[in-house]
Amino acid sequence: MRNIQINRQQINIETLDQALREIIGDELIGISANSDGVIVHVKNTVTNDADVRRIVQEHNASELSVRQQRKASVETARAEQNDVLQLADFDADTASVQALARKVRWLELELRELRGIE
Amino acid sequence: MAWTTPKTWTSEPLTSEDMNTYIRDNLIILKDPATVTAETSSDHSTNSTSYVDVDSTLRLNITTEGGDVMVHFHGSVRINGVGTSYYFGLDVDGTNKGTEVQRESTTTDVENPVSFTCLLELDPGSHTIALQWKNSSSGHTTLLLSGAKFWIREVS
Repeated sequence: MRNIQINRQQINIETLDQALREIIGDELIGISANSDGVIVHVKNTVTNDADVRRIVQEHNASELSVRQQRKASVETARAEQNDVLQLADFDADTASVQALARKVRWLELELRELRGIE
Repeated sequence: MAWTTPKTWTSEPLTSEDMNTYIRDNLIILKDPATVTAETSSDHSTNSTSYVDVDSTLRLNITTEGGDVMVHFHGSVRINGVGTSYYFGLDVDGTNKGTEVQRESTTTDVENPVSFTCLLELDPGSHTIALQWKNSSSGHTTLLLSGAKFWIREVS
């Protein structure tokens, strides 16, 4: 294994990993980052260091991976759910809809309890 | 000042030179054993699937007089996914000694304490010991929060 040290701050390891794998594939062992910069860990067979450095320098840390986008969507949805489901809103509905509302309310309360949401 | 193997006295005069060499100097060494410490002052992260140094500041040099050294590490770790394991281990004089502690994440983005203490049997002399880490998968990133402590002390 060999390390390629690059002076670069604020990276998104997940998306940078994807970008680097497009050019060196499984020869990428991983990426480490700290306040001193970025270290790309590669197998000794990697020879195109310049490409690795270019990708790290051109990397846009604000771009999110699919997983990170999904997580951001969940957090947005969570922030929008301020009020607990009110059963009175379903008084005019059928018994089966009211039963469903009670189940949803129960699940919501359980979830709030688990996550410590007031 | 180096450790001197204690002398076995027989029927002979007790000299100040011997007392200083075998008693005073050895007591001084025992009172103040070789110790090196480090603390991280920023966050560190990795998704490496092979052992790599956590940081150059956590690669410590120690010169020992005797045999064993005690090594300790503790810190707070967060991983941005579920089902990925992170591992911490030691590199001693250029050789990784395997895993000292491992944990699989069961929740995402939650801080967990991680620590280990171990005893290494070393020959007297200069040694380099580094804290290393790795992930079971490159799909998630392990974050070691600032303030992690790593120390080594000779204990024999």
